[in-house]
Amino acid sequence: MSDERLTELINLDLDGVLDADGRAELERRLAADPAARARHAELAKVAVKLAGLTPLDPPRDAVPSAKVLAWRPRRPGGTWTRYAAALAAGVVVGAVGLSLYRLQPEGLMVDSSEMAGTMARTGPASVLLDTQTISTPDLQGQVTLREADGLWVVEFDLRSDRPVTVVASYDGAEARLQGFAPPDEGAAQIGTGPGRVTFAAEGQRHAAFYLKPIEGAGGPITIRFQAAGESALEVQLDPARH
Amino acid sequence: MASDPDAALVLESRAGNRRAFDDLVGRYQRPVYNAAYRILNDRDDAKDVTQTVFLKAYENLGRYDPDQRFFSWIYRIAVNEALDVVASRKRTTAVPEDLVDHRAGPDDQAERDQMDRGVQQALMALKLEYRTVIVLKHVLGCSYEEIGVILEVPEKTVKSRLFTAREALREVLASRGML
Repeated sequence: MSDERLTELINLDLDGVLDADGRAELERRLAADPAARARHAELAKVAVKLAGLTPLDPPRDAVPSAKVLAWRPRRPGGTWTRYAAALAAGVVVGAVGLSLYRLQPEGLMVDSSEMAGTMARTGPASVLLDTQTISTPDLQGQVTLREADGLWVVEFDLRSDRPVTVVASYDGAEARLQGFAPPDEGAAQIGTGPGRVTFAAEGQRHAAFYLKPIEGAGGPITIRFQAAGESALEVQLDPARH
Repeated sequence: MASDPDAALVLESRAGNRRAFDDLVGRYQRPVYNAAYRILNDRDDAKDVTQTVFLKAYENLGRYDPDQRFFSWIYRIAVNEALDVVASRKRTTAVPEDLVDHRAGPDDQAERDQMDRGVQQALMALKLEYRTVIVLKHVLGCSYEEIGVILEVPEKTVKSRLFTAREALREVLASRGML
């Protein structure tokens, strides 16, 4: 019997999937081989230790709030009229989304039905913290940083003639990613990592992501726009600029 | 999908029922967070991964293949996100194993448990692919077949990788006097 076979028998046994023939074979091998017995015993201890790992409770904000999930950008002309009708009917919506869409109604659109119940409360309007205008031959638009409801909202309204990679980086010790609204084409192009959000832009793009700043902190957010094979354009959004 | 206990919630979520999605989140938030933590050894990164997993799941429910078990799908997203974080660490600043996650938190009591930390540190000493398969098996309780689906490798590869991973973990724990 090879060591590979012994390894298989021991591990299948530990996983509780060893059949009767295999069990008999393992028992014969263990009875005849002290080293095999010791190895079996140690691997069993490993399994016990792994089973004893303390399950951790995720923090409350480990999943995106319904509010964040509700901020889903839509193509221009979508549901703005419904949203306006809801406003006219007296629905009080006081959080970030409203401020965003008021400022750029031709851009991000929101389904008011998704917001009802999750954002229908009084609250502060968003405060403009910083804005940067992008104007190059191939890429135009605006990147805006707002503060609302305890979150920083980084909003992109871009138009590019060719593929551009957008990389937003921030100090992970000063702010945590709370969520994002993907570009119009869906979330597949969104990439995230510690202190970083990345997405691709081509043509007209609207996207936003949300950071929860750590109390007392607030460093700048660096945005790099990189076209293939060319040097990157870089801008900074500074929460303290305004 | 008929045998998938999540099937009804997935269908309702795809139809726009956010409460159904909240129920799915309730079912999988804890295992996803724990798996991410065991791979990354950092609570903040695990939290980020958990957030991203459910955001991506929400945005991509329309692409979910109903022939697949939902948990396999969500765990695959979780593993991929965690591996992305590891890759990102390599591109930026490496986080020394003994410096991570020493901040006090609500679970600090459990975290201080010496044995738990010892096993976690031993896990961090393993190659990433070994750590990942150990987490799928022992933290998430997946079968060989399910791990194969999640990692998109044959079941034979799963067994080989898992058995080697356990052996590596045994050696690490033994070398640290923990067996």
